[in-house]
Amino acid sequence: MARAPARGAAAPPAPREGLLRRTTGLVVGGPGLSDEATWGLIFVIPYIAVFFLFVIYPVLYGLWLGSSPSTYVRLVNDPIYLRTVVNTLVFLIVGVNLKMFLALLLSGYFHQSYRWVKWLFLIFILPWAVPAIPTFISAHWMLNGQWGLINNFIWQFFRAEGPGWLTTPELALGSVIVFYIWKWMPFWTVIFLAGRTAIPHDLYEAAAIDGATGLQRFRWVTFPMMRNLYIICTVLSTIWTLGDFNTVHFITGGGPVLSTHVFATLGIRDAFEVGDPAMGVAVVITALPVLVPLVIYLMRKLHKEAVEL
Amino acid sequence: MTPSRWLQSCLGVVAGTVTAVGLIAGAQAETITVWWNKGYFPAEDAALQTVIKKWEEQTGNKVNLSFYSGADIPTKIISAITSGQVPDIAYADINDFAIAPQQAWNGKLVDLSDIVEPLKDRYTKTALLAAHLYNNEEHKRSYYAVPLKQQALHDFYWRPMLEAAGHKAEEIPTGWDDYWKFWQGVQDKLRDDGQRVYAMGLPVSTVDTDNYYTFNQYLLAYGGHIVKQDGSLNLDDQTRQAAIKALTFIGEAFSNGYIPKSAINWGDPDNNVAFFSKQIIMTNNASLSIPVAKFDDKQLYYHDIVTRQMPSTPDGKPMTSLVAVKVAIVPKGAPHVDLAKAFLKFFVEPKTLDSYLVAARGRWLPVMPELIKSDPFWTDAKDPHVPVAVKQEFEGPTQPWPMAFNPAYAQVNAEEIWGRAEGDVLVHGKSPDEAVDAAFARIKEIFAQYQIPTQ
Repeated sequence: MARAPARGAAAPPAPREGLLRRTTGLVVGGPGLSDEATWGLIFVIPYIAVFFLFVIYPVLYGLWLGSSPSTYVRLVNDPIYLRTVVNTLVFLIVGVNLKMFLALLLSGYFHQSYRWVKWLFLIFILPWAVPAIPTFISAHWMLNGQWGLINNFIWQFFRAEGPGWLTTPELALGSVIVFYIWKWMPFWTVIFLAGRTAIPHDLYEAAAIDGATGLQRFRWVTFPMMRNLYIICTVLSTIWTLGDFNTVHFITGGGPVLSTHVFATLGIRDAFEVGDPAMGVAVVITALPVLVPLVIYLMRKLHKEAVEL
Repeated sequence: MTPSRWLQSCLGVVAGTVTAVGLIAGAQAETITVWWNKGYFPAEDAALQTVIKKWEEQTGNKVNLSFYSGADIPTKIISAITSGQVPDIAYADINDFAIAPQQAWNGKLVDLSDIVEPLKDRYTKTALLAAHLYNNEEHKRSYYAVPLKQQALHDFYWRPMLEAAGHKAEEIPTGWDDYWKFWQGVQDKLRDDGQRVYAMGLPVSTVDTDNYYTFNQYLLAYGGHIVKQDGSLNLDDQTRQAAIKALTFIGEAFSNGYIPKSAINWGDPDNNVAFFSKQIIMTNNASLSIPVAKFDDKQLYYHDIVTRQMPSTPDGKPMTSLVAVKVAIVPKGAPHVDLAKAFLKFFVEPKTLDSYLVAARGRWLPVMPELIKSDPFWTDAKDPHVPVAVKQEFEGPTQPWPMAFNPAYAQVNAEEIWGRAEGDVLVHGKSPDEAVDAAFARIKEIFAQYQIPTQ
């Protein structure tokens, strides 16, 4: 129950009449909006408009385009799609996990304080620093079986044809994964390196006094302290990689014979090369059962009150 | 400032700006938006810009021209038509192969009969067939595209490589089997000299258009006719055997090392690149892009690069060339349809069209036979390339692509059905019979979606 003002106390000032109420007579939540609230509304309207225009509308339009059940029947009957599902899973499971694990190990190496290690680190992060598309195009040409750098080297020195890096489906997907790791591992190494610097040095000293070996220190100190960061980064990387178009598109182009497509590239192919936008959207929508749980898991992890390394 | 004053000021500024922009726009000439396939070399783009400049000077209107690469422009056009935000004119080299027939079928293109009809007597029959598309929304055929230029498959080879193998141009056989054995022999000799070269630069991939141009031309050479002139599907035994033979021919050349393995991934520019880097001795291409890109190097253009007609068919008949007609379209919803039509009308005036094609150095050939007769450029005996193509496309037997009769075949192209069949043989180890049966099964499904009533 609201208390009456004390006798003799000055009455509180009446709230200023809000702009919306004065101009439209509209009452929001009882009294009209105060000037402060109106200012807030004015400033938030552009954001809401942009959000609806560039996020809500495209998403709804995409869902509408891919809403026909018959599209999904066609999709699952397409052998290229089934191959794409397998490729995407291999790309995510092998590519992401190998990259993250190697990045974790390398972050330990680069955590050393030698000057030459710092110089080496500078060289190591170059693949991440250079633009992705020219890098992948270079990789494509380097791997060309007939006039690429690697097979030309083999021909020059051994007079033999080198492996079909981009013409054998398994090697082509393997090449994609290798260059994906090469490109993005430095970024995650930097993140893990930052994580390592936050681990209290006392813990390592205590472990050393107890006679722990390097591997034991990693097993009982580093990894438990880095676990949360590692999991969050892995989930985040999986989400990003699920939408990765550039690596496959510019290294193999989905070839040979459409055998290295992942969801992101097949969606584009079906929508714009085959000329079937509904099918392209359907490909992307079928990634949602993987994507949505990952996003929910990530959000939950990030909502922990206490920051854990 | 109170919110109300602030809001009033903002509204005032917006209203004033809109009024001013409207007044300025009203006072100015109209502008059409044109999306165009970027040329293979700068002269092609310059040729278009010259035509546009002339039109702008004549009419006082403006053209907002955007060039997109051959790989990007189909994406732009299809996403524009899907979203409804379309340009006034869209031209892609691939329009006739995989965009215009399906979009006309779906009723997404403006009828351009008022441009094409008055020129009917001037166009080739093939050009008219390629632009006369079926609209399944209105259940009628009409001219939903404007023919601009045409192409057919020609062969190109390096004269110095031929001579290095101890041969002369006159020794090249014209019969199908002898012709290919000859080039394979050239490779063997050059390889004996330690050169890592390939005889046959034939695209066998699942991207772009060169691969299905090659396959469909060779299918025709072996006597395959998948679509009848009434638009019905023809998967009879003769066509099946022709497809099997074409796949077997390509498969054997590939597995014997006469076609580079990387051809399995080639996009349209890649056989050009391989040719220019002298990794392949001969290749085919469905325009004169290879020699005319080297026009400025007289040694290359007039001596080293040779254009020749394809060999005769395996049964010894003159090869019938599959002629593709490159077309411009006006998508429905274009903001300035009348102006777009006016521009296209200007573009296809014979004199303008000829100047455009000549300025593009003859990479593409005219779709109006009178231009060949009236402009000596096309038959100049000193030119080692253009007259060869003209002879093949205007004097030799020709045939339109199957999508001229049924848009379903454009979908066959878009889905790369024949590239996939080649891949099944070359990469997945299927027999040509199995690959053809799988291709035929999918082609039947596609044609079932494009039922044109008998007219």
